[in-house]
Amino acid sequence: MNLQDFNTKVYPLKDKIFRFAKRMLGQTEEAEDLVQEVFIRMWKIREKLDEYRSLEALAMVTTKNLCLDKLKARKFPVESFNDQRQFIETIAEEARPDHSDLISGVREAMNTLTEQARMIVHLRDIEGYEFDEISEVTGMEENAVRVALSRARKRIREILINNKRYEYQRN
Amino acid sequence: MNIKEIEGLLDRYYEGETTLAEEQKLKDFFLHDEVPETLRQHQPLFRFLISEAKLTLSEENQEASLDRRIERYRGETSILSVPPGKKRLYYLSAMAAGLVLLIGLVFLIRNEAGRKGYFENLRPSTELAYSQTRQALLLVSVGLNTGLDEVQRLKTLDNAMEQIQRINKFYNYQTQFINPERMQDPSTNK
Repeated sequence: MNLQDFNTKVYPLKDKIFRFAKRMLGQTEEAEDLVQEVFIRMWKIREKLDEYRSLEALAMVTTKNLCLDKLKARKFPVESFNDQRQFIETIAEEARPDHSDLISGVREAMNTLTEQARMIVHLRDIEGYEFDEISEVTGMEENAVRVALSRARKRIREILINNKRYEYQRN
Repeated sequence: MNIKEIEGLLDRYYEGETTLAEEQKLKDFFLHDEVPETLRQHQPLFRFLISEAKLTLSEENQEASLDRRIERYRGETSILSVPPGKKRLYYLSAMAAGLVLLIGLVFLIRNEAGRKGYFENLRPSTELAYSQTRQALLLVSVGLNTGLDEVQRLKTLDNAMEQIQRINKFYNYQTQFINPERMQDPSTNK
């Protein structure tokens, strides 16, 4: 695959990769950097890219793996200036008010899900993936995906209802 | 689209049984403003899902990210690779700096010491040395003379002691005659 092909077949995936990375990592800046990382990984294996059935699936799997690595690293943080800066940025980003409290409530509800559940809801409800595609990215059985999706959707509903009840009590 | 149908779709949605087309129907329905009161609680979710799908990676974002990456790359490599020509320049400049520091220190110390007059004292004239030595020797000889006088006095003490010794002898003889048994025990004879 040459640069021309790469630009027409791989590069257009940037928004999907970005959204997926942002869903997983929660930060814009880190997600932007991750998009570059994914492209670098794919460019390095450009000779073999034609052998893959779906470039999108490959890109999404790469994104998922890199995100999980980053999240794992976050659980055992190494003290450094960069981490502290990122931490401050995270707080700033979280503190930023959204257009609507109700919609940002959904984002918060989604962030309480496990990484796997968040991944599945994102791929299905935001990117509109079929179950077999989700199964390919997550490495789970289709049925397991379906069960996890249903559970995650119900969990979000539950959180939103509880939030609303809390608001009524306050008013 | 009637409400019954939407409710049915919602139920199946939460069970994970809806198709992508049906889910799109739900999104379209909730994007519309006229949502009945009973279903309004589901609206934020579907509006969120629609708006999140529109998120894109802008050109500026990508450039900013690239800049950060280049910056990091520079930070990682700058320590490792210094061209040899520059390396020699570093050595030379380090040596020059050391030299300048040394010269500066020498001058500083000389100036400071000169102001306080250290070196004048450290380099005395021969005359001064002679007179000082003479003074010191004189001091010693005067001390020696007074010391000799004291020794002279010791001699008279010696004479006096001799006389006392004689008295002691006389006392011994006396006790030998008067009280001979007391001589047996010298420890009591004191």
